[in-house]
Amino acid sequence: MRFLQWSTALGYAFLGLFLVLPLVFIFWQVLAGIGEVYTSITDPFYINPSPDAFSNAVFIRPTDPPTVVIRGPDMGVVLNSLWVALTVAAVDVALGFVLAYVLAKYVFPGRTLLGLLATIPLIVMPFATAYVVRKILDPRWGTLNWILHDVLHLPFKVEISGLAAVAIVQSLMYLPIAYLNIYAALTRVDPTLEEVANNLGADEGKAVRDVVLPLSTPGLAAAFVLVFIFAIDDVAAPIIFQDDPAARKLLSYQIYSKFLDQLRGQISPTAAFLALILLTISVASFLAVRRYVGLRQYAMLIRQLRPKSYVPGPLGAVVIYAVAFPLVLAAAVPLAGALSLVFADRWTTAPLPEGLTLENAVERLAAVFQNHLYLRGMVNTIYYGVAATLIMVAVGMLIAVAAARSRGAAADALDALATMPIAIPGLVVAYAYFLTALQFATGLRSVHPDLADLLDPLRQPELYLVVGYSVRKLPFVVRSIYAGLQQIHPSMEEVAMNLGDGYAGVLRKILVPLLKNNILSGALIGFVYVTSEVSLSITLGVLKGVGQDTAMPITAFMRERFESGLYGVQDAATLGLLLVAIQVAAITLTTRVLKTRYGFVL
Amino acid sequence: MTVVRLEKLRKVFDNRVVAVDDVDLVVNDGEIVAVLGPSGCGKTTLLRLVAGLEDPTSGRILFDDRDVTRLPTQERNTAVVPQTWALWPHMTVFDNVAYGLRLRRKKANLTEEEIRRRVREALELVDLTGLEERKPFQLSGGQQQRVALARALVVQPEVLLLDEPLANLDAKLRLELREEVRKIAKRLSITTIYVTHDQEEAMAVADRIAVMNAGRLQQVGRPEEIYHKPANFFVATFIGRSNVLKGRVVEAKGEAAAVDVGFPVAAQTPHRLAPGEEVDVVVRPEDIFIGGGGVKCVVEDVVFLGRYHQTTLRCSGKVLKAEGPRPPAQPGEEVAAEIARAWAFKP
Ligand SMILES: Nc1ncnc2c1ncn2[C@@H]1O[C@H](COP(=O)(O)OP(=O)(O)OP(=O)(O)O)[C@@H](O)[C@H]1O
Ligand SMILES: [Mg+2]
Repeated sequence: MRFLQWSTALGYAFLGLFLVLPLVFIFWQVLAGIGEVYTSITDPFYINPSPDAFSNAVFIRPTDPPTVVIRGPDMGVVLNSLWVALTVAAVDVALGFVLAYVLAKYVFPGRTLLGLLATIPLIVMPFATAYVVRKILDPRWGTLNWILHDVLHLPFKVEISGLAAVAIVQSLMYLPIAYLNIYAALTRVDPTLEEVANNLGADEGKAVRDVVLPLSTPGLAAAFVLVFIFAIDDVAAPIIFQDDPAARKLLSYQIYSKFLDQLRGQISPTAAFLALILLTISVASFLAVRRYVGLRQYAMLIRQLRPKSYVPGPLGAVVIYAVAFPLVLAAAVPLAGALSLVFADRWTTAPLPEGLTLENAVERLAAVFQNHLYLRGMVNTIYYGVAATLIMVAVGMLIAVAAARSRGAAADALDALATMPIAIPGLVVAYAYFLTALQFATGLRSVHPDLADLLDPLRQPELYLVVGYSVRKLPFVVRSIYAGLQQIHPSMEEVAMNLGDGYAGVLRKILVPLLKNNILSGALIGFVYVTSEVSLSITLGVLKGVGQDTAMPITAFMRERFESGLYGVQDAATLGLLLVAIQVAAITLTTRVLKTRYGFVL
Repeated sequence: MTVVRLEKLRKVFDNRVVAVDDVDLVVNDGEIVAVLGPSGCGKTTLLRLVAGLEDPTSGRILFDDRDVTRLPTQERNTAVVPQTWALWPHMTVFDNVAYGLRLRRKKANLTEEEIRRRVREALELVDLTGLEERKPFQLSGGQQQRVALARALVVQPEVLLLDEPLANLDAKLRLELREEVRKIAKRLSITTIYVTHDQEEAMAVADRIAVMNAGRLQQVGRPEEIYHKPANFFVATFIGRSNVLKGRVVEAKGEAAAVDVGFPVAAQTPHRLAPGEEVDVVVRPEDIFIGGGGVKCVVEDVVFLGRYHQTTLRCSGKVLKAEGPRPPAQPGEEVAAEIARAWAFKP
């Protein structure tokens, strides 16, 4: 089995060089400046659990009519990140469970529509959708208060701002992730397990409580941790609300803003330490759930054929039509709003976008296509997507085979390591890459100036972007191929080897053809996630600036447009539409090849 | 206790797939009826209809005189053992078996003590004491099967419904367990429907066999009846081994017919046949006797199969397989073969 040893070694080499090494480098930075870090981190700005943190969490401002202000407690950067992400995870798991339960368990008119609506928020236009939520929540000109006050004539107004607003945006963004994971967990439970309980006398509620829930808790836990990690890692929502100082008091935003300081030449150990905290929280929760889920793998006895379904009772009907449908409609509003920005004259001081015309959209799209920088951004996005996907498929295939087909601690650890990037905040990766590459290139300069130029992150950020994207999104490709490998009995490979073929031949002639669908769907997910990636794009992506040879992908341009004045956000939305078009094209192409529906692997 | 009566029972999936087609069947009190048929013929669907896990498209299901057709599965007092057994992996053996009793605690006024006693009795009945605290995946296949049986029996169902309960076990264990299942069902004199595609298992377990094909019942009867008096071509060829010969009726009278299959054969038939009609003639290998009188054949091959010898004969151009305790002749020799019993069916 030399092949398996080689691919294990290659997997370790790839992840060791491009994941572990840069992260270890941050550790080292922290240790070097531990004194300064200690004094700054004990500042209440970072951790402030005192009671007065809650004094401004919720209050009533004596305007006319009175305004209910919801801002959430400000407990310092570290605790803020924790409570916001925990709240988002709890809310999304609860709401996601309602949606998943209704869709997995009930037959009712409109079921297909509900399922479709529930997945719409998966399409994100970074910044644009979050901007729409800000517009809706805006205390003066927002849609929410317009509805409450001018339409419903209620005697109060509502102001949701600061951390609470960030939490709302994130809850909307990550609801589909929670819903899809919980849905998968619920439907994976063998329906006969539930039917036997019914047959012995258990009604819907009892059978679900006794059988379905215990067997799907690992899935629920995984959904919770996934949303938690995504939320604590997210920097787009805090950027949208950055005018409010409270929204900046989050780990992700602090690391991001200090990354910008770094570019101006100040190395900040505080930023490295904050990154380390963020990393520790994410990785610890990831490892905890991985262990738990791993232990409970036996939950699935056979592949399910058709889930057990019930006709909803009165309570079920209320949940479907009064909770589930309004919920998915509300979750789809930001995307609809973002799209309307492309068509609108403006959406600034009015509660709804003004002057929606097709001409506006045509004009904006034409402007984008006449702008060389934007075209460059689109080319960059496609280039990064394709290059990173190729790397992910090649490396992912070797790692998946090594992890699935060899036994022992080394294989298990490789599997864990390859999945780990899910839990590693993009900002931390960006930060670690930048720091490591900069030091390396500086050190190399005296020895080999040409090579140093080639590896300089300030001159060649493309290199680091492609590698960084492929490391970050590798887990999705590995999991997809790994899942396929588990369906293929090893005897298929053994027979070929018994007939005299080497493992490389087996890989090419047997595994790749059999795993074609898994590889393609893994590649598709990887591509879509790379093209909509934000953290690396707005940090490493802007290192070379906005010149003719810019390295910025579309998402970075969207961030740049969003910052640049009143109409910039509408340009950002137009760019977002093109980004979505690229992704839809990839999805269509792949589904054509696969001849199946786009399946999410998470 | 309970007579199960199915009347014109029919189940159509997605308006297209007729899984169960106008089934009429009575299972008497304490009787074991095996539903036997090839894969996909609708056995599982029939069982699920009786359990209330599937709603019939039309027809009625009666338990004694009670119409239970629209009763939900919870209120039917049946107990199913699915083919996969469906043991709850997160519960211990004890909790699996106790589940149904705990649901009946209020209605049947059961104390925790009584539940424990009855679970213990049920586990004793299936010969599984001492494993109460194990989880299902810590048991062997045979043990898991017994737990599934105990879980069904402990609630004292009116009707026991078994769906290929032994299909996942190895051959030797299957032989052991099928006798045990019959013994237990008889001891408790519980009305039982036992689905299987294994005819030997059906004969060993059941009082009567219902042969099913393409959603329809083909014949219901005691194992001997099914074997010796098949109602149609499907049953004749599905049960046991058989030779099939195309032939033409020479003369017919009542249930008897003389058929020419290349040589003359005296056959029984369930149909009214007329001379000249084309028929399929079915002959069992053990009904061909070599060495007496009869049709002249050439021995092509003789193989030893343990309990008997199988002889391949060529008789007037037709190939027949015969079985007998001793090798009747050497390959190449010419022998006379007597066909003691045959059936003729309209094609
Ligand atoms: N839920 C369903 N939806 C659609 N078709 C179904 C469904 N359940 C069963 N069928 C179809 O009904 C027919 C009978 O299926 P059933 O499972 O009852 O067969 P079976 O006799 O139990 O087969 P096996 O011996 O393979 O278990 C098959 O053609 C099957 O494909
Ligand atoms: Mg079946």
